Amino acid sequence: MKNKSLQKNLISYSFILPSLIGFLVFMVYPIVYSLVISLMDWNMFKGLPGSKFVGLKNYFSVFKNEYFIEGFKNNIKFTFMAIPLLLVVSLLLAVLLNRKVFARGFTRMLYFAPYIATITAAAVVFSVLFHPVFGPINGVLRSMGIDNPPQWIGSIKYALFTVALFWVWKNLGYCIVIYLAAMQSIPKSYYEAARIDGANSISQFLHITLPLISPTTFFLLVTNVILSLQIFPEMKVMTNGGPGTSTMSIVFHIYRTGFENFKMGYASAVTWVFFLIVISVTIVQWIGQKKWVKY
Amino acid sequence: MINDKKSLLGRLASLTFILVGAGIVTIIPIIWMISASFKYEAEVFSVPIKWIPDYLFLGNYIFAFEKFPYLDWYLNTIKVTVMVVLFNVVFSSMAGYAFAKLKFVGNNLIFFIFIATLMIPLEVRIIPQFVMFRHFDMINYHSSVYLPWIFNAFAIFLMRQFFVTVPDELIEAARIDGCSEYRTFLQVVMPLAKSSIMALVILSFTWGWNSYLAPLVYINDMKKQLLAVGIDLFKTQYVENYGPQMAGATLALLPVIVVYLIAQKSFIEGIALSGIKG
Repeated sequence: MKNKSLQKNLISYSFILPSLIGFLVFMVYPIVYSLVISLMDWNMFKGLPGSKFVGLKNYFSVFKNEYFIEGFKNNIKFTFMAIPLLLVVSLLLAVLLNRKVFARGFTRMLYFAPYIATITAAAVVFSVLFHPVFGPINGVLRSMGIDNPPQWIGSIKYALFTVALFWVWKNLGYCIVIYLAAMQSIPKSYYEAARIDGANSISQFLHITLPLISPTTFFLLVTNVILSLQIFPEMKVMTNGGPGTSTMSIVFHIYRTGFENFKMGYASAVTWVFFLIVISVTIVQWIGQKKWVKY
Repeated sequence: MINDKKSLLGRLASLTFILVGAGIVTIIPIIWMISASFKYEAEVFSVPIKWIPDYLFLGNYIFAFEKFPYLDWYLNTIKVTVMVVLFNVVFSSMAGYAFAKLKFVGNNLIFFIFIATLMIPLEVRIIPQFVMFRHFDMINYHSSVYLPWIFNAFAIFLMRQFFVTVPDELIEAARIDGCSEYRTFLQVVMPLAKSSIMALVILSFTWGWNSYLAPLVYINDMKKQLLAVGIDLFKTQYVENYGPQMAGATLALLPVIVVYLIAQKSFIEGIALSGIKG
């Protein structure tokens, strides 16, 4: 009897074995190792035996590093620029797409195309489109009589916003698809009842659609805020962090210090500070959801 | 009555017009890219924009292929993507099924810990993994990019959410008929999961094809590089050659766009499915 249950357990474990091995080798081990590295003056060539334990020194230098502080500020600015724009525009388009229109499938396909496009390739295209001198965007603006169009990726003022535009363009389709799925699960009878009571489409939207999809809005908010904090390839390709440090993000800072300057002890400390930032932002949102998410 | 219908039709048409218009604006960058890739350098930025060049100039593509190992990049990217899809579908389905339907000591606890790892960003693991891969001489091998995908908590979660909905009676019946656990999984349960598997195939295809940070860090041999990083290298070296840049971008985008056009319905359904919370 006991043998049989042991055998049953072993068979069950064999199903999760590959994932378990992956979990130990590519999750647990790196996480522990990362903590160790972050406490060291890490020597890339000699590894652990050639590195000196320095305690929390790396963590203290994170908060003193000007590039980190710049990156942190840019991350916050970026999230505040990109997230409201992304959610409002995708909600608006999803509401319209949810109505009776011709060629809905075709239109949905158009909006979704950027989402599957390779980030770096699309970023190359945007960096040319928004080129301050030659770019077709400014070309068209000038031909419309605007003499001094924004310098986009070439100016400290607009570079981060241009990257945000690209990021919103790229993720719009995803949010629309998720919103549409949520809207289609709202029973039609709610709207019929509201219509009988004389509610117009705007108040239907405000009092039926908006509250009923608030869990979806919350889901999109949390996941996209995390994604927006992790922004890096977009900036590496479009602006390489510049001009100056105007499009430098925390992950960019991790990449620079870790893999260009090979200060891996310090870079590991930044990854943990970054992790704490992501977690705190998410926790704040979880607490805040009680005020506006209706389940 | 007729007037009513007319105004309804009018509203329908104008709404469609707005939506299709905004949709076309959305894909204009992609159209511009393809169009510019077939133009002479001098023509690329001419305003008003000529969407269809007078004749197709292939020089940009020839330039891209001559200067950079695009063909290698393609093959490498395909190889990595296939492995990522395979790992995700096979291993995450197995684990998802075990967590949903099999009884074993620690089932819930292990699942909870797995899900908790979703909170940890990739950036935390990239440095220690780099040190580890260097130690085992795996730098410049594609396995350093795809091997970590044997564990994917999100995919396990997605598959578990589906397997939970499979009726227990079905699995019980297969067991009574003498099927082993493995056969039950392969021949009874997996065929039911077709749409979830399709969704996972599509999601992991985009993960694999768009891998950026891992190949950027783990691979530094030009010939072994992947497309997503390659196109960035191309840009940095030929900053002033915009035509070839667009040809390079088109080459990197084309396969995804083709796959997307063929399977767009599954793509969109798969993504919608991934957003449904359990």
